[in-house]
Amino acid sequence: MADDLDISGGTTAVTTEDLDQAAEQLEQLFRETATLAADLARIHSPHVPGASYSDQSRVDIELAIDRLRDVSQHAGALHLALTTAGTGYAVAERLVGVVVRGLEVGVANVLGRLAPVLVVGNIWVTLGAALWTGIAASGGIGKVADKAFGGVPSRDPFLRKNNELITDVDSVNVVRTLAQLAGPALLGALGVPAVVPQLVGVKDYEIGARGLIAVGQPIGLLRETGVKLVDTVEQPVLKPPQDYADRLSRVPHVEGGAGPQVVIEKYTVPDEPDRYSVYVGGTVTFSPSSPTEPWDMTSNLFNAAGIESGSVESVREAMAAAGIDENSPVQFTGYSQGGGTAARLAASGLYNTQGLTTFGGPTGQVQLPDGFPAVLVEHADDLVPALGGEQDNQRAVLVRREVFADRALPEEWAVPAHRHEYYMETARLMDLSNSPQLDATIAELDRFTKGATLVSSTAYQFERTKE
Amino acid sequence: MNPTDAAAHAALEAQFRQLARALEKLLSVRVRLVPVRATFWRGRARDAYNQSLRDLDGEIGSAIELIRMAHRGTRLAIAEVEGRG
Repeated sequence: MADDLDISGGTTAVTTEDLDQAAEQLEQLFRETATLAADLARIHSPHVPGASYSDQSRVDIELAIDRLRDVSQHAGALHLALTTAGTGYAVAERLVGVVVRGLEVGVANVLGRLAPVLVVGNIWVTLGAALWTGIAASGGIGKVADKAFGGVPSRDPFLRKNNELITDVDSVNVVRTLAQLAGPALLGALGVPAVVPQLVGVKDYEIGARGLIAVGQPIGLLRETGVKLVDTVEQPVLKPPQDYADRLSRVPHVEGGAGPQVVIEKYTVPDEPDRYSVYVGGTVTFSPSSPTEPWDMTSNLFNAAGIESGSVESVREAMAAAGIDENSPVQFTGYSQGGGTAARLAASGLYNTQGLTTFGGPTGQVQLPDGFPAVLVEHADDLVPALGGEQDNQRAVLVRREVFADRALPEEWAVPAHRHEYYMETARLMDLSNSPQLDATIAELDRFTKGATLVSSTAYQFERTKE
Repeated sequence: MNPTDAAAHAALEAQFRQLARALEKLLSVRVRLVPVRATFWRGRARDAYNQSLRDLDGEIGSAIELIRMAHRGTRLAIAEVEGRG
């Protein structure tokens, strides 16, 4: 069902929300029917000579007690089965994930090694290489690519027409696997053994993005630049955020256009250092060569490659402008590229991070440290989180939802499951879910601003510089 | 009413009230605490679990019926004792 949330990670084992609820009901049923049986056993049913119905009712009471004990035992056994299944599922899923990934990396590396042999003599490869060399020699295709890929893919008629395929959970899983394995395959093609990245401290996942950057840069694409702050706007001061939906609503989001990409709220607490909530917006353009926008495909790729991107640098500059230093308590919230950016900053160790919430962010391969509450929200039919590879942050609370499981796919957008409005819908479902993991984590996140006064809310807009 | 019947009558009245309370509780338990059919799992695991839930609901239904019969029997026993004057 589209309203079902699959919540995992955090402090308890992986279960679905319905499974959790059923287990809780069965445990209560076990206890309440045992109590009822004990209550009935305490009835002193009298033997009344000459009153036949009193004997019959005594027999019925005995039978009811036995039946209630059966119910209690049965409910207890089912409760145990459900909780064991939930825990077992978690263990099995993680174990299988680790083992399968290990095998896949090896296979991808071998396939990569075979690839050159398989395509030797292929005229198209030769022509492609010649074309790439020619473009590189002629100064690149940056301007053309910016025109072609500028904006968001929702406007692309081809993608809109094929959004059914893009929004399919199986397709999304294939993309996730490809994103994860592109690196080992590339290394294999170059004849590099699969263990080398580990030896030099680069993740398999990051290598694929680094390969794309290496190919793109000579032809004018994916060139990272500096960034500059071009505008700051003081916003109305609200109350501290109250729930997940309220957090997402504070993330800057301008439909199909440029605007502020970062919002920082400043809080004061008596006798304590000022604290800050940082909200980071999503990709503004999918151009691989945007001359002005730091929230573009270049930043997406650099984030994936684990290299400082224009969007990460912008947020760091905004934080510095707000007065945040390495000791200031800070919470991050991000949507889409902003989720990946927020996760990178939270994982950087450069800030006193007190919490992280991401919606639709490619966060899977950003290794989040322990020590702060983290909630990562992904739609199972959304391509964008899948581009972040397998989700390895098992200690964070992971919320997954298939948005279009049982409803018609809108035709007006290319990647509907990534839309801000559907993540807002999911955030509202999270707030209403009564999930112990989500409730415990939001309570922990809310403690950050308990007793604090929100003194300012500032929106920051950045642009790329020429170099 | 002789003292023995009076004591029995009082005990039956108490039993009648206790059974009414138990019946009310169990009806509420059945509504609140029997889970709806599974949305998790697939295939045989889901079928087996759902069958167990149906069995569980049947057992509770049977316990409700037994308490109802005991409740009705107690009311008739009270009437029997009262009928003896």
